[in-house]
Amino acid sequence: MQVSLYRYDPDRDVKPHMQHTSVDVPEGSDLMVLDVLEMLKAEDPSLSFRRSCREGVCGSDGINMNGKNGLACITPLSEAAPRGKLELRPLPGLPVIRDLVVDMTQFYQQYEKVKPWLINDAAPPAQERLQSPEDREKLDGLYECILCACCTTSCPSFWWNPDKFVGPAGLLQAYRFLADSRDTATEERLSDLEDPFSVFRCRGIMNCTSVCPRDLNPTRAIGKIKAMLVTHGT
Amino acid sequence: MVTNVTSFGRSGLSDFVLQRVSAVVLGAFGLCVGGWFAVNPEGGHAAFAAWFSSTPMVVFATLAVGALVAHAWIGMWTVGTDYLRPHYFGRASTVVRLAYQGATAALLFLYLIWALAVIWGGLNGSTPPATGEMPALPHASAVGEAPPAEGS
Repeated sequence: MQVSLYRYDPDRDVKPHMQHTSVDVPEGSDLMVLDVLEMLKAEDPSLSFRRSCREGVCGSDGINMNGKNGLACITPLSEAAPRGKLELRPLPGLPVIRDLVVDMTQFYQQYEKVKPWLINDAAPPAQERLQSPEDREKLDGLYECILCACCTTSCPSFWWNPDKFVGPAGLLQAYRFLADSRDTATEERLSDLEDPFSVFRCRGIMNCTSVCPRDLNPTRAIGKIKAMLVTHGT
Repeated sequence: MVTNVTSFGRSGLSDFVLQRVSAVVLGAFGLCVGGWFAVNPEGGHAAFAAWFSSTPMVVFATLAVGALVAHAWIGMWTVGTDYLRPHYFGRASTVVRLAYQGATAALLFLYLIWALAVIWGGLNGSTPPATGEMPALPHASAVGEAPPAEGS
């Protein structure tokens, strides 16, 4: 299989370049893209990429495969490169540290902005804050995010305004706490999102939903935040 | 640095609501004018001018022009703050963006004044004719005649 790899070593390269190489994929097998990366690294140990759990749980190996973001460990070659040519690039829109490793500082800063923790001013009960099964169900499809950044880095609004637009991953978490019956900071959370950039730069193009390796739907969550803002703010 | 200083509303929520309300107004206006042509296929200019210069239509058209200007400003401001960035224009990006926003505001203001002059001028009986009469066209009798040969 022919593979094109984005390579950049700031100590040696003036600018990034594409390295064209090939790997022998065993006949009849359907390897994951991460397996191909491991084979390439065995030949060239200088190749850098992040990986950890290799089963789609840790979210470390988010990369761009033939133009689409995803997790290398759970994306089979048959899906990523049905025509036998594989092009691997780092997640777009974030500064590249080296090869396929990106600096995720801006992504985490936007995540931190939405205060991704439960806020409740009431005195904590003796054991735990209870929630009805119906209220708990409202969090399904929101809490499962693994922060791989595939969604946010596929969003043009984040590319244009990464310092102001929270991005789909952060907004999914923002709605996760807005929808939580135990959270009492709804007004504060909404007023933090009311400006022209944080939420309203989302144009609903659904790149985020298309690439999410956990099949979550950030666009729907963003739509619900907008509806809450309209309801609370008008 | 891109900021929201030049956004008149300074609020994404107000821009969001205004853009949707203005879209509804423009859609209703489009349906209204389109509907007139649908039910009056043989109406002609005189009948249309008489209908369009009636007070309810003048008010509706004024509302539609206001909605258009608000809708266009929010949209163009958003496009400018998305694309006219330091990434493309370096240190000059703020100047480029301000020039773009200034030109957009000036053009929209011009369109607003122009449209209001046309709409309310019709109500005062100047242009278009409030009576619905077709103004005399120059060479009206020549309608249907073959154009003069080139070079004649």
